[in-house]
Amino acid sequence: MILTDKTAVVTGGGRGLGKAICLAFAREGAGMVVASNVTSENEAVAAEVTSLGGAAIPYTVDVRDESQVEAMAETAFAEFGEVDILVSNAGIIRRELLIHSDSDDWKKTIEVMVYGTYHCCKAFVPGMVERDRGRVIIMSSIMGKQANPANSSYAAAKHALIGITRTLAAEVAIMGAKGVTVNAICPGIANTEMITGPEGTLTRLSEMLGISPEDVWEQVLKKMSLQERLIEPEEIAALALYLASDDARGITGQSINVCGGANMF
Amino acid sequence: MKLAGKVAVVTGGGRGIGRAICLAYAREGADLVVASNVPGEDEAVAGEIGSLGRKALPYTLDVSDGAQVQAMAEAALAEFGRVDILVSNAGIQRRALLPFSDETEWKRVLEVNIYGAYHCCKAFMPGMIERNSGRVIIMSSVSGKMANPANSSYAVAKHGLIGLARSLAAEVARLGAKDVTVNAICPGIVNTDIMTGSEGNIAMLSQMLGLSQDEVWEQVYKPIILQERMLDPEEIAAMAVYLASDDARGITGQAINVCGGMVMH
Repeated sequence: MILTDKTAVVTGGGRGLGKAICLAFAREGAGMVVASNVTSENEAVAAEVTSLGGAAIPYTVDVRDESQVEAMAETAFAEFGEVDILVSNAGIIRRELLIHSDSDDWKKTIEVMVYGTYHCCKAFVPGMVERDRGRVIIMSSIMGKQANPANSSYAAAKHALIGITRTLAAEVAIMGAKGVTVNAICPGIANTEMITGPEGTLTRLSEMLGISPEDVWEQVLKKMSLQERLIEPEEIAALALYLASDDARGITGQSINVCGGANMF
Repeated sequence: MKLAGKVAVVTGGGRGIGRAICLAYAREGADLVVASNVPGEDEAVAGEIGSLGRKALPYTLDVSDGAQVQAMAEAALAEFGRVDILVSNAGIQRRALLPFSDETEWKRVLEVNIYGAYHCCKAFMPGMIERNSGRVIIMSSVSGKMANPANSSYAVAKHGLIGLARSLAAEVARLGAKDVTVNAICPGIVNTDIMTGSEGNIAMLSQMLGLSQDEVWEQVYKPIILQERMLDPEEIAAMAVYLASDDARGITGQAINVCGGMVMH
């Protein structure tokens, strides 16, 4: 087991990629805080982690609110003493053309992903820097590297997260904490509720384009990736595990695509 | 074990990064062709693999010669029946300022690094495409993404290998072999002969710049690496294991840096 005695905090841990990461980390021996803004979901994942023999605290939080993130950090420190791995994964999507978008909705996407990540890094990275040991894994997206029509807030937020990743990687190193790495993962189109759920991208684009969800897949999404398939959450979790492990101690400031060849930059 | 029952060919397998990859693959259950142009070095690594309980075929060749690569492929197929993983890692460098470089030497770097990879891909990929199963891992470098003064042939070759990896990833997918992935690894400064050996970069730059070897490290290399250290070959090998594993089935067309934060794109 490669994360024995490690403690992680995973935001957006109640479903999708975050849930897959929690379970993969638990299988490798980590304890964790399963954070999400839906209580029933973080409790369910925490129960699964416990059944795998790991320690887990479900925690309901709105990462946009700095004081709530600070309270979560206090709980995590009280329970586990220190946090070795931060996975800032919480994210939302509000699909709309920019010119038709609602300003509050547009900004909410930025607040959850960019401010949420900022709050979490501010709460958990100081301990890592002090111990010169830790891993920060930020969930960006291939939309952090390319255009995403009718999804500008998401693309803006995911691009910004790559900027945070690179800059924070440099900052911790300049502060002397060369044992702390900061990296982003850039998934392609993954098989999660955000894509395939009832309010997911397939449904939303189906409404916007006036074609069936199947046609959205065939005409829009399938052709985006060389492998012409959805990425499974477990594939993203495998990279998160690798980046969290000692094997990846020399990888920092990177934003790594797991996308079936949809983006090569 | 992540590579149980797999067969890999590793060029440049006799020392440095290639040797570390051979040993890491053997520990994960793979059998190997250890290819190198130095008789004795491939045999020594093959001996180490044997002592780990795996089969290894040492093979001495010059990868810049297509006929020799073809003969190696025939030997590999005769011994193991098929090849699942190609690690095209053989490389040389010939440091010189471009205006003062010897034309034959300059082109020799491209012949070994680029033509060598081309020959190996041509020899080993048809079987992977036919079986719709396989992994190609091409050793590029951070010099594939940035300037390398007094080493233009190396930078040109390593940039070229990223173009090769991306194009080949798209080609195999379009041929329908979506389970064959092609990726490049871009190591930073690694503690191998090419860096720290008697004719390595540090010794060469020490002569060219009139500095001590310690000063070359302190003044030339250390300031451009966030972690201010050399990587161990084992860190590159860990990425090669990950990319060869089933976990990385969704990663293709990528050029992934393992560089302690030297390059972030």
